[in-house]
Amino acid sequence: MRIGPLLAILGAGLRRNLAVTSAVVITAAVCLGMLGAGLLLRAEVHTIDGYLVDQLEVVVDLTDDITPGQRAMLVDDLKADPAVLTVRYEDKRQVYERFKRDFQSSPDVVAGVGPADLPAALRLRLVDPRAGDQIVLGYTGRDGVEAVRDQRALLRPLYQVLDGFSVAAFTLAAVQAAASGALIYTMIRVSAHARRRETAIMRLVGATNATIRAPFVLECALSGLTGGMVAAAALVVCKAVLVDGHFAHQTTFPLFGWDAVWVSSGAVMALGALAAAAMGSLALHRHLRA
Amino acid sequence: MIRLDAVTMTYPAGTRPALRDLTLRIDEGEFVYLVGPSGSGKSTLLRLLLREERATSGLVTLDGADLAAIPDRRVPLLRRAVGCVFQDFRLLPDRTVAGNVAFALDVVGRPRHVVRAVVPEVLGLVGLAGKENRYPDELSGGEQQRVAIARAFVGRPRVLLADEPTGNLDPATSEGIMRLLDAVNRTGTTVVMATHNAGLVDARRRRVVELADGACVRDERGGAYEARDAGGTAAPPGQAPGHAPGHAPERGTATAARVRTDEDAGDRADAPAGAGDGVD
Repeated sequence: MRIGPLLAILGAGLRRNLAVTSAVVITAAVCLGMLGAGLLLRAEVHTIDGYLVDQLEVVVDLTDDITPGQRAMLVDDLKADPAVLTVRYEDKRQVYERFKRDFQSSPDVVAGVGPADLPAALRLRLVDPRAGDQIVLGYTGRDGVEAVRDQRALLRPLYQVLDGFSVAAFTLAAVQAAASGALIYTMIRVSAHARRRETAIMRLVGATNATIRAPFVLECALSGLTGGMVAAAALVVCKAVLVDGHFAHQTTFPLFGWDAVWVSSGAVMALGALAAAAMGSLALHRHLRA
Repeated sequence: MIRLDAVTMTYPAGTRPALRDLTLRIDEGEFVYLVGPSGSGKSTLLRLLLREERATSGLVTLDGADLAAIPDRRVPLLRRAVGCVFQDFRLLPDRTVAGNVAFALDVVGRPRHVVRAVVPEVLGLVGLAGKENRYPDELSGGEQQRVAIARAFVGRPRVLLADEPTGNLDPATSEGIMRLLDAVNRTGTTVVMATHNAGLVDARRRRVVELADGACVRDERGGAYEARDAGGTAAPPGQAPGHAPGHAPERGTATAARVRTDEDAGDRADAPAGAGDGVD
């Protein structure tokens, strides 16, 4: 079918179904907006993680009674471990200096601690900084090892909060997706009924199934795409007004950039169009005779 | 061109067959009337030829192709070779006359320049030149049926199926539609027309295939709407046997009596001279 007649049929269908189509666009926009928000929260987790991950290490605290031989064997094992990138030894004096630097804003804490109170340590950089759990499990309890600490574990509460928000956003998006799906199903049912004479004639004169279904599927895809565009616009406004205009002044944590917004916007528009078209096709199988 | 061999068709919810052991052959360029009472299987036969239904048993072929064996994706190609006209016209009310006819070409992907050239030509052929921009509700019943015929014929099908095309029309208008179907037939298009209009059938004396309870009870070239056996049992209700002249028809042959009712005579008053000069 040529594009002109196809668009004419599509336009007539959209005019006829304006109310239902508008409802689909609104629910799809809310659904995709939630999905986009969830994606941006995930992007924020990655942004924070990427920023901090190079500054985080796994620290192996050594017991005071570790022998030089035990320490040398431990260092050799760690260097031979494929998960470990570098191994650096800090004696009690160096650990104390670092402690004083980290707590310089709390002189009372520093005053109560001496170099002898802190353990010597091996500081590890990992090939994959997110794989600290393996090192903790593998070296805890070894001779001469007092404790193994993954500094990244300190960030878990923050990640849990952000993950919680994104899961909530995805859940709301799923609920809205169900509503959108039901509306699209209804839209196809109403539309197929209203256009039954037109589709019957198309079938009689030899139009292919793809031609008969195309206006319906395009109508759904266009509704989904429009919903996606509204959602994308909302994400852009949120980034400009809330994130850049508000949060950026209140936190020292890095915030996701515009690239995340563009990726999320593209994703919600593509998903909106494709999912709506797929739902429309599904409904057509039931409500339009092949 | 069209062959049915021992075709039986029973609808899934049906208790008795709509067609029973029907064997029929229609050659290219023929004009065939399908007659018989409501429920005799005329529309079922047309639906089989359109591949709207598949025969329960037997073989339906068009140009040698077994219609039941055609895969679903090829059915649209079959339907481009088979035009169809209905009693209720089935026009799109929101499209003009030209738009309705062009629709049949648009949806099968014909190029715009072809549509622009062919649509006015066909509208001229059916006598609707100058009415291209009218809407269906601005036309008479006869004109609407002409639009429907133009739409069915614009793709130059090899077969035109007409399911009671004059059922909603007065006798004079019906005669005009018949002349139009004659003109379509003269282009070489095979026409199969289901009808209850005895006057039109009697006026032309074409091939008549009569169905009763899904079976072919008469296949007669140059036949009339109703056959009449020796006892006159085929005479219409209210008419005494033997009222009309003629001899008993021999079913399945080319010789049969033509039985006319008073109503027929009324319709015939509008019929043109030369009735009975069919393609046969």
